[in-house]
Amino acid sequence: MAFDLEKSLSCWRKALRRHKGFEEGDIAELEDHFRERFIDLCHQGLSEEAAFQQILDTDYANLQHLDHAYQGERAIGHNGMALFTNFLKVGLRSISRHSSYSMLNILGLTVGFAGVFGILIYLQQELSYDDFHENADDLYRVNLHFTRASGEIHYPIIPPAFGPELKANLPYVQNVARLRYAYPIIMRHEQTSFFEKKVFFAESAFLEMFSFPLTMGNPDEVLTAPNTAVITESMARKYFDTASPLGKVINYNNEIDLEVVGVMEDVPANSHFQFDFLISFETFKPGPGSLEPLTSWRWLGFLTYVQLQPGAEAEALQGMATELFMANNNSSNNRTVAVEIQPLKDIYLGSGGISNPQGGLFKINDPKNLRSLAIVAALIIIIAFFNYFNILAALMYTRTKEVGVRKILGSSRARIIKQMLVETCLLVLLSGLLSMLVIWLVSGLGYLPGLQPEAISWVLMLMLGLCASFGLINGLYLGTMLASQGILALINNKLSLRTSRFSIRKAILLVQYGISASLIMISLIVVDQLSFFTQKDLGYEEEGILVAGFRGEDVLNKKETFRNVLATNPLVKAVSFGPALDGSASGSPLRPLEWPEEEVIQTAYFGVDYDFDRVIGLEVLAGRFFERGIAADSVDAILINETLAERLGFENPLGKRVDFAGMAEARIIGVFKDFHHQSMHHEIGPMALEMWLGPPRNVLVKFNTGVEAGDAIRAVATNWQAAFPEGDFPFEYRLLTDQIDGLYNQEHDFAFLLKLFTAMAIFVAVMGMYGFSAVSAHIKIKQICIRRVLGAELGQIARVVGADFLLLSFVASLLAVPVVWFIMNQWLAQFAYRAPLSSSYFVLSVVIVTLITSLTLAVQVRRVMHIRPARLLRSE
Amino acid sequence: MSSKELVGASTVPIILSVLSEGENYGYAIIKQVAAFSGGKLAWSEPMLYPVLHRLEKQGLIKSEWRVLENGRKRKYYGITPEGRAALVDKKAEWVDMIQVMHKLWQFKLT
Repeated sequence: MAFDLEKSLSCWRKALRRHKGFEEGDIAELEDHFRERFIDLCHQGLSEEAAFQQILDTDYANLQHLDHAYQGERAIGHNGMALFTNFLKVGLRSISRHSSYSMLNILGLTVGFAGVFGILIYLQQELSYDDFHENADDLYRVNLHFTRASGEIHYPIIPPAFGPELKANLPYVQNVARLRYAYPIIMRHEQTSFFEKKVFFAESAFLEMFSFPLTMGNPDEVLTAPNTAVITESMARKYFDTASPLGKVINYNNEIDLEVVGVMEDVPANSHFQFDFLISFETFKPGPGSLEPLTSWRWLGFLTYVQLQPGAEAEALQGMATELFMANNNSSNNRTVAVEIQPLKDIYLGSGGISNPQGGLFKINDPKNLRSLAIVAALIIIIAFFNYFNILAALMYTRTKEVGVRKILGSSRARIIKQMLVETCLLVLLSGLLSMLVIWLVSGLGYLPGLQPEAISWVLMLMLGLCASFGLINGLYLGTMLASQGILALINNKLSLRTSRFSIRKAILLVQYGISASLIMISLIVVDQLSFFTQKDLGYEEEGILVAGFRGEDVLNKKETFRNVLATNPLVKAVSFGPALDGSASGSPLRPLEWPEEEVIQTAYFGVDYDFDRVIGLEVLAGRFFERGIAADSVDAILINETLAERLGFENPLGKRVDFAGMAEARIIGVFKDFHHQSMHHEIGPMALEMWLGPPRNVLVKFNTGVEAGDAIRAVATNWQAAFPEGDFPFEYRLLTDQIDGLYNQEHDFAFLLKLFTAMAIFVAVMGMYGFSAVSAHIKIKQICIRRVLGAELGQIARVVGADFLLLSFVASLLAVPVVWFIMNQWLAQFAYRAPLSSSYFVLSVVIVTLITSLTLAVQVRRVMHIRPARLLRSE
Repeated sequence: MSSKELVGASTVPIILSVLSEGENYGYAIIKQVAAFSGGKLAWSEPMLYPVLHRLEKQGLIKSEWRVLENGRKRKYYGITPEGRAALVDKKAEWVDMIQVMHKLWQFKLT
């Protein structure tokens, strides 16, 4: 048979086309080459057939090699774009082919990332407090620390004479601003009046030092003239609606007409110092009943901020400031004093031990809370990472054939790794974007603080970094793992690393289960401690008590009017005028007359009225409460609490005389049962009650038992209107129970966040457990089917699907117990009164984790039991 | 016959040198090189093409399909200005290398 060149070339072309590396252009070029060479060889005297065969033998003996070379060049070409598109295509295809697992992965990662990002955003808000002031680095607050025999007290408020002297006598002090808080008062403009709590008298330097920009008014002039005020934009809207507030008059507490001379932007949420009104300091006049003038060195009542020259060392000034204070304040020497010049930026997170007058003049937070959340964030990252890794690694077993085929076709190691990288990064990126959407929605609903503009970049960088590291680490590991396998091992699904990698994965699972179990335990304990707070007996009956502000003009007369009107209200059991019980109290040293001068007990005290014991259900253990018939009670009588009685150590404290709160010879007429007037963070300290018949600040109304709070409030409001028909005395009330909850606001906020993020972490963990058991079942599906055909029981199948997970989860949660025990003991130590660390939390957590694992297993077993073995095995 | 590594390293400068003399197509390039080397430099012939393609993607050479008189198509390659610049660099490298070798062996021989 004669040799047919064209026919042979056609066969040759077909052979080439079977390889991926050659495109039609390449084949045409090679054919041209082939023909030239063919002609040359024929000219050299070879027969056509021999020439053709020689070319095949020399040039195309290793077609694979040539194909590889062409593919390699193509991979480099087009800036890698084509290859990338190919990876992307394959990646998307693999995501959609394993859509249920991909969904699991994306869901888990999204929730995980959202949790982490949420915490990041919260943390940046908390860490950004007071950053927004231009001079933030040079601003400080002056605090006073007293050490007495009875303990240490830290005040953020100092005497009024101290501030100006600091500026006059200390180097580097550029500016000083004093502020005086006003007690909650009534502000009135024409017929509109409101009860305002965030009102301060401020020196004009305040607005120079701090960056609270004015939207109206001249910053150099406001706060200089007496009887003028600057208000925030929201106050301007509240009092004047859309009208311009400048020049308008607001009446302060029925005493002073204030002219509004400036409007400023609302105080940012991340300012430790919150206010609505700033009244010029010149307006502040110590009232006629006031003990001290503005030149006082003893009156602890003024917030004082200083601005130092840039670069000045505040610590060096503290000693000088202390000396200055000691030189002027020559009161009794039974204490040591230290002046602290506290950096502005440290106030929010570094004022734990400092008293916060008026039930919270400024916002503070405990850095411990931030640390706890940061730890939760880290745990979420770890769980999410392990999950992702586990599911992905397990999924890879279903991809070995694909990778094997790729390798046969000449894919290089680098390309396989790149492909895995593209796939993992794609998934991570998708989840990252979704989680940002979640965060955006959540913060839109007001559950999270908004991002500070200056923090957006670093939070975004962190998020991207996190996503990138997730994608890179997983992609690199899996890519390398797959690329290093032999082709036959891949095709036959016999990964040489199977056994060893399985144990690594088991270790990872152990950690994962352990973290999940720990998180469940921790959240149970935290929630229990916080509810313990609100459920613990306060020592008095807080239910059914209404507290209303009672301030303004002529309150002494009003007090009697109101008392008389309330007497006719059948729903009311008792009424008294006294403390708001909001955590604030006065304090004074107390010293029995027979004790030496320097030995005193620092004692908190309240001025109360008759019937206070009936209102709050105070239990008098010895002696009696104040009585109407005994005139001397309002002169020198006091009651003390158990703790104080114990500290005093008298066999019978009744009738003892003490030097206390301006009374030279106060007489102890009773001992009452300890009660909490502060949050449970504080231990009950020495406390006393004195009779106070001066202008009251609050009225406390106790309802009869069984009366609905709503009914009672309506009835009291009617009484109020009857007593004060002019309408210039607003009825601003709250229920004592609500107010007590308010003492735990910080705990509640923290508990809410902790619960939210812990729930997210647990969700991610459950996703992981579910996903991993699902993929494992998927891998073993043939084995399971064969077992079923051979008559395996349900129990045997369950064992194959992954009974070892169950054991693993059980062991992991047991291992978590001592760790959590240790950590939570530390955490609980910060509370003066704590719920016992009961073993039931631990048992419950172990049960929950085991239960979740069993459930995910059960779902898998059910799934594989529903597959018809014949259908699956048919294909083999 | 030269070692594989040396062939690999020299391929690009050789191709660029041939093309710097004028446009040409693959088979002719190989023939020219074989002629120059007296048959010592034997390329696995089709392997030239992936290299040409890579150089084209790097912008050192450009290509064009042309139709021959007999109706067949042939791809011609030509050097670009970037290619010429690269060739100058390559040349300098090789000249340096040859000088080193030259000096080394000259001294050793004496």
